[in-house]
Amino acid sequence: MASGTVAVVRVAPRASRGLWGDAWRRLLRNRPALLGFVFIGVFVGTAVFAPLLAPHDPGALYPPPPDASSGATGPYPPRPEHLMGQDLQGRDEFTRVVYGARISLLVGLGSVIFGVIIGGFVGAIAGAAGGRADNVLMRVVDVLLAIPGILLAIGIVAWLDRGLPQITIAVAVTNAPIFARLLRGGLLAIRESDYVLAARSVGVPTRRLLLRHMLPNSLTPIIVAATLALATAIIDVAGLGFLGLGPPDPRTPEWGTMLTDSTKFLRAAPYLIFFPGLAIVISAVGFNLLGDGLRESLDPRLKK
Amino acid sequence: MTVHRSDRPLLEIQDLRTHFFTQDGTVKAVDGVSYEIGDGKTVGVVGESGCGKSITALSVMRLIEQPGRIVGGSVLLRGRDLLRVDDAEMRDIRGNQISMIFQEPMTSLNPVYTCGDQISEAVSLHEAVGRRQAWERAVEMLQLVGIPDPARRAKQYPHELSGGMRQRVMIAMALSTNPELLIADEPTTALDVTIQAQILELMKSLRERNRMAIMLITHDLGVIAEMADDVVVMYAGQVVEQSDADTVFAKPHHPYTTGLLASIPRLGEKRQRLEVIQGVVPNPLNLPKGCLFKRRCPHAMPVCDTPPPLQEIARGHLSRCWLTPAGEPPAVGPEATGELAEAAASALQAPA
Repeated sequence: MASGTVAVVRVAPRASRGLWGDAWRRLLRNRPALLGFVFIGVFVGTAVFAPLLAPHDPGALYPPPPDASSGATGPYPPRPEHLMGQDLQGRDEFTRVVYGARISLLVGLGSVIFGVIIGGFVGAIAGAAGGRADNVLMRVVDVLLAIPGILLAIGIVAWLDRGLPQITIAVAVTNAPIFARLLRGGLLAIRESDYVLAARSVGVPTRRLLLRHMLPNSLTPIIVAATLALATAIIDVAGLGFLGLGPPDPRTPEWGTMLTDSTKFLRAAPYLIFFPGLAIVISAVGFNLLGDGLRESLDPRLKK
Repeated sequence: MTVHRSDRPLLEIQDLRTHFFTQDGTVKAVDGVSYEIGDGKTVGVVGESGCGKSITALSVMRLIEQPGRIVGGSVLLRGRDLLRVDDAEMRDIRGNQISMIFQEPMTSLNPVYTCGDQISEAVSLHEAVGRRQAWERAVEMLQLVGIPDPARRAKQYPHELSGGMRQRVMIAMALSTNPELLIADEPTTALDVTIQAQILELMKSLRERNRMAIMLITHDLGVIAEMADDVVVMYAGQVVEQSDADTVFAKPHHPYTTGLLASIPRLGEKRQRLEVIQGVVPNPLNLPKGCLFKRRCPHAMPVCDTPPPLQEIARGHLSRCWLTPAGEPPAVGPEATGELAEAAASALQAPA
């Protein structure tokens, strides 16, 4: 810069974006999170537009390829009419993977929403009431957390019987304690905060204090945990299916059940393992990447 | 029913006791504190950290949380005992008749709401006004506390404002309902010196405008000199000296007050080292017998093993010390004169 020139830096008044606006911008700059978005987009898009994408009926049995020797049974390898091959009964694998996304999304999302509601309710009561109620509720949570998630889910499905609603409940119950503990911890910390004292000092009533001042401030960890829980929920649902606790109707295209049905043909028909497995990985990794990205963007302290 | 009686002060704190029941024992954070605040008066409450000045304020607001509890005394606001009104009434008094501002402007505003939201919430809690009116009042209040471009600032979140700005927002929130008493708990401690001066100026002008009383809690005697009409000096949960500000600065009586005043650096004085008060604040779980200050007191004498009463040593000037009003050790025996010496003598003779 030549001598005598004065650099004038004009700082334009920054438009107010708010906490969420800032977090959103940080998220868009996070490459892994963007990849997560792409994966989730593929997963959710497939689930929503399944009837448009899938060429066949997920439950119907289709004839073997014309060149198959008479009397041969499935599975049949991929060919133009059946992109991912046909399973033992001759059903179209591609169609089943596509429709499987619906099951996975529905059960995964349902169980997380349900888990957040139960866990959030318990956590909010424990954190707000404190004392005895807090102690009792948190010991129950400790017991549930001590049992490995999938084991607990197996137990619940075995108890409630097989079926998609039962699986949803089972996975929800395994997730709920995490949310309960998170919300309680958040509320306890926030209860001591200066702005809660300040709010009380202007006469904010207790219920309003909890709902309007404390809850919104304790939601960020819940959002992050719920996103990550979606990944585990998808895996848990598939895991239950793989262990033979999937939906009882064999026509239901559930990824885990599809895997377990195909293990016998691992060498003969690896494509029957590969495609449902890939579908599970893509959807679970997607939510994991997004969850990590959210954690970083919502908590500026984690920024490098 | 609030009866306005002009002969009574706005706020009377009488023998207030707030104790904390911890696992290690009972901490008598506030132990028999009495003082009053007249209409439109500013009372400065001074003392070291942990002397109970903030706990007194929180007790007045009834914002003491477990394991703390107000175990005795009364807090009369225009003659009505705040410790005996029900919770709903107390909520209505908070923010309406008594407001409070805090030390930490950085953390005293809720991060998820805009400044305007928070001020208008305070307004709408106490007045039957619509959403838009409350918002307009918020903008008005921001203007009043000297925030430029208040309409835009009202839409901003706390993290977008500086510390000084946030303290102004806090003041706007506290004053939005025209309280009769403002409790300011170390309002300038966390701020830069220049901002401190601005905030004090602001509080002064608002005090005049609203004719409100202020309970100003601070450990900064400079702030007291600037603002206060009366001064209450607290030590280890008790009031040790109380008078109008001029007297406290000109003729401090209690050795603790004298020590506090001596420990202020003064411009233009050549001194090698700053005076300090020797020793540390006594452990609240293990207070000394007798005068709580005796272990740090340069004038400690045998009579100090008996707790000194808070007594009037001159008109309107109270001190909790055995020293005579002239600052001499009390004479004991036949040559003793004056009530103070008599009290001292009888205390000495009484079995411990």
